[in-house]
Amino acid sequence: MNSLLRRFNVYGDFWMRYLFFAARWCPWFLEPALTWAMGAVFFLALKKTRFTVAANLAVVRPGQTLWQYVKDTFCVILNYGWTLADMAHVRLGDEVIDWEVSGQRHLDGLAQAGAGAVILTAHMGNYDVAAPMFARRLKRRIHTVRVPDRHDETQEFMKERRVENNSEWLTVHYNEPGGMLAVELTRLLQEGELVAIQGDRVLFDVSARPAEFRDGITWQLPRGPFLLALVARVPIVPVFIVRIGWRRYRAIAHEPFQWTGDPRDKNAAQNAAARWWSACLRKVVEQHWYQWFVFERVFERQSIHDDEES
Amino acid sequence: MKTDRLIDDASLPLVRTALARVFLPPKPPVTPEDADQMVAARDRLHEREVMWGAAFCAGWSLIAVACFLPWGGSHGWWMAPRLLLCLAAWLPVWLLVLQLLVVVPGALCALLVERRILIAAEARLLMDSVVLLALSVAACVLVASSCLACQIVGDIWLFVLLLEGMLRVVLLVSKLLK
Repeated sequence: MNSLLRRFNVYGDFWMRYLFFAARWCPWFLEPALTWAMGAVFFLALKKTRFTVAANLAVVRPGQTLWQYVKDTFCVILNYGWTLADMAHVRLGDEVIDWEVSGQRHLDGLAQAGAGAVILTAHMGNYDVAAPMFARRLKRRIHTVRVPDRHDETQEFMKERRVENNSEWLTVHYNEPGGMLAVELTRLLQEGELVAIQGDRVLFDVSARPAEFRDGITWQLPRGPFLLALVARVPIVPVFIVRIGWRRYRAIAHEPFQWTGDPRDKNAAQNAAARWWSACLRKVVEQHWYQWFVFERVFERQSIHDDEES
Repeated sequence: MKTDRLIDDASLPLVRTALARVFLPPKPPVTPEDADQMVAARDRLHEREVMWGAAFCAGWSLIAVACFLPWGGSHGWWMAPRLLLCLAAWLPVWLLVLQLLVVVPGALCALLVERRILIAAEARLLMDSVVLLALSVAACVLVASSCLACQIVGDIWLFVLLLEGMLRVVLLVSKLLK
């Protein structure tokens, strides 16, 4: 009985199955209403998520009224619903997404064969759907790293969908506990492959590194991407996928980062990379707060100076 | 004027209704000034048509659901709790109706595709038609009711359907005359 109920949990496979069913069969003239309605249902049902998103927004957009935070939280959840619906359409083989690219000059370097790079991104827009499109455009294989879904049934279902929609240009690696993924990714980077990682959320046993968000407020950023880039001696290219309208996304590439100091000074290199990424991510998160899909508390009110020194 | 630079596919989006063709004519995709490149989708729909269509269907179905709820009656003091109950049930019932409109015909279409009776494209067309038929039947029931407000709500749906049908004929004739 418990395992049956588990499937109806927010992380359960029932909702993912329903999403794909609705994306396949919902008439075009009902889909926006259904997305909006389901967004409202999840907003009302997920109390903990609601409070977490509001707490994150209170740091990203300080000084709003309580009612404004309620509206903003609904906006985040609704946007998440839209991106999930778009993701389902793409996975079902519908080519319905318009893509825009901003900061093309920063991406040109990625198109060169044999040049490895870490593509660092955030949980924004449809990063999951953007990767195959990018890989096809660049004509280069992209290795993406994903945390497995929390429920086995959901993980199995989503894995099947990804396999069905597989592209020769994309390989998905799952960051499972106890795996040797870091070694594999370093090897790939050294061989000149592209590795895309999300660098704004720390889950499970992922090694974290605190960075300053604002005076007195820190956030935890994953240490892995910086270490990978340092060891493989490749640049980090920040690319954010932002939903800018109905079935329209924009890939925004920023100036790449490469450590030019002493490669043996790993601590200084990681500190510099974390500071740079924190500033880069903060700017984008503040601008596109309504689609920053991080449903865990990320901010802490404390000083990081001691930690950096250690 | 903004340029259409580096657009892979500059064709017009797919328009499904005559109403949108006449009142919301589609435009080719344009690369925004602040973007370096745009890759337009192969199967993209007409955004304004979808949004207006969805807004109309959502609004109409919401009011139609209200029409089917037992608001009034001459039951004395029971009227107030009944009114409150109807008010509380309105949105959940509408949400349930939306889900049923997708799930029931969707399951039927999925079955037809699975049994290889229809191909996916035919099943999708059938799905759209069944949902429109269900809403039209609801509109006819409202038109036949004794309540003036319900009749007006039903008439609105039937008027839009009639207008769509007439515009389709006009567009077809004008296409043949060209």
